[in-house]
Amino acid sequence: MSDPLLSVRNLSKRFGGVVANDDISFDIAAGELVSIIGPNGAGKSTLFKTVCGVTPPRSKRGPDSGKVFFRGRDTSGFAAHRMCEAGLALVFQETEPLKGMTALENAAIGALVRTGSFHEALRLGGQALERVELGHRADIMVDELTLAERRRLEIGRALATEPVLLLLDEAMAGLTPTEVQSAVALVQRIAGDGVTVILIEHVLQAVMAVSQRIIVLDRGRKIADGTPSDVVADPAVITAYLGSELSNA
Amino acid sequence: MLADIIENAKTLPRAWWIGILAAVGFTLVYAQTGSPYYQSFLMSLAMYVVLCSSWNIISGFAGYISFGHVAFWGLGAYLTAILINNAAMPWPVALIGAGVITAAFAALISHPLLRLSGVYFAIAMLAMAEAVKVVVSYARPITGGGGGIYLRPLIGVDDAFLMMSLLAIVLVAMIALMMKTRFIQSLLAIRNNETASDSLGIPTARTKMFALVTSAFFPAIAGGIYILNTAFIDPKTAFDISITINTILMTVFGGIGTVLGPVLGPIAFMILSEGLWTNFPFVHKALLGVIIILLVLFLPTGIVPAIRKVFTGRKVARGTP
Repeated sequence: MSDPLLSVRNLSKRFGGVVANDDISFDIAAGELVSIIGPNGAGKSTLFKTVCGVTPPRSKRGPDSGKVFFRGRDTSGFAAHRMCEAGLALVFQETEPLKGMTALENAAIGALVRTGSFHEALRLGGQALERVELGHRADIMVDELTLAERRRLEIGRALATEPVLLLLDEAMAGLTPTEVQSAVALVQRIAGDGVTVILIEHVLQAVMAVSQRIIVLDRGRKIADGTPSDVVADPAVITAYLGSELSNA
Repeated sequence: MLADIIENAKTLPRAWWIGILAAVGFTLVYAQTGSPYYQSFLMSLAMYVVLCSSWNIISGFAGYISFGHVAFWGLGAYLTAILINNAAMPWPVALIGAGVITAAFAALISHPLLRLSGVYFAIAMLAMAEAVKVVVSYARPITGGGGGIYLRPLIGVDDAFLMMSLLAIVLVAMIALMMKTRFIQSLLAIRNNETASDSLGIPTARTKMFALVTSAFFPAIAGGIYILNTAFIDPKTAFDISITINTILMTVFGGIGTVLGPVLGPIAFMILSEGLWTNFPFVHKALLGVIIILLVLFLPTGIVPAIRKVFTGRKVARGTP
């Protein structure tokens, strides 16, 4: 792989005595669509947040040890807004709409990183909403959107930042099977537009449908990294995470 | 930001422009023809519009409730007097200087204080105001200590009314024109969810610092105008917590996080307070207290959102002009 877009090198993150991420390394090439899976508590969301510079209160920003390189720069310990400026966007596991604003204003907040003008941001936000098929709901207050629409809005708002790398943390959680299908199509469309995507997802139907590659974490460590067919056949993965799923298949 | 302000000026409802022009016209005429009593009353009203509107920037838009806002007003008053007495500055230069130094002070304290949030920030601001009061009280050679600082009277109540009113009008108009700008929209996003805002590329620490600096500059100028007229201030008056409490009360009364709330709040509150004092001199504070409790119970969002709800039939978000 030449010049990875994102390179995580020996990353470790601890919270007190709990090791959330332990010596994790992987590379993501531009244009890839990769999923990160693992049981609850495997350290997936912590990994995303550490890479993105999102810091829990009273916690050190960035990895405790190891490095993160994004677009060739050492971005370990960068604040989240600097990572966003650099072209990395994160969609949180919990929907985080900015309440008291319309869908369009929410998306415009994302676009502010690319323009100093709020009016221009509204225009860019409108385009981002069209990309996630929410253009017709632009003037609706976010409290009035359905869960599926709020999930789309989160993705639209992240797209408004014009990312080259989009991290989606369980963006399909709580959706109906039909909505998941629609979300899968959306993720594929975003990837088709040239945005590199990394998913954390528990919906295996979605993971298998979209992923070119899967990274598996268990108890903070990376235990597998390969194509979907390789990963599901990996005994370590079956033991750690997929065993019950496969036996039911 | 300038392009946004020009665009906002084009789309600002005509009623706003009429209101601004009427306020300027009234101020210019009344400064020449009004009675000193009402000029003094209206100067206090304008001062509270400045305090409420500036407090609203850091507390209403950014969501960082400050209990130390009076410190900026008091510092402005003291610094104006010090710059005139000790540095022999002409009063207009001293006034602006006091605003700039107070804003620089706000920038300095923003780094440690704005790392806190919620009740911790509120308490830290309260402590900051008390600390400033103590320092001013003990720096006798410069501040006159607990006995206060004197100044040669430089402007009459008519000029003080004129300056304070124009300051209030400029501040309110500026905020109205800045609502749809990157700065205030970023503050609204921070108030909603600071972590999400940071991850969306908003430099939250810098934006909050700028909010506190802006929030500190205008009350400092108001404090300066106050002392230019009264020619005396002491620490007890300059850092009186009741000024902060009144500021918060009036803003909540008018509608926190709105542009017109910090204007209508002081107007309603001061007219009510003055009317009760005139008609019920012995029980006016008790009556005012009862009315405040009733308003908080039945009009918790304040006057402006309640009026909007009546006209639009829907809840209106904070931050709507």
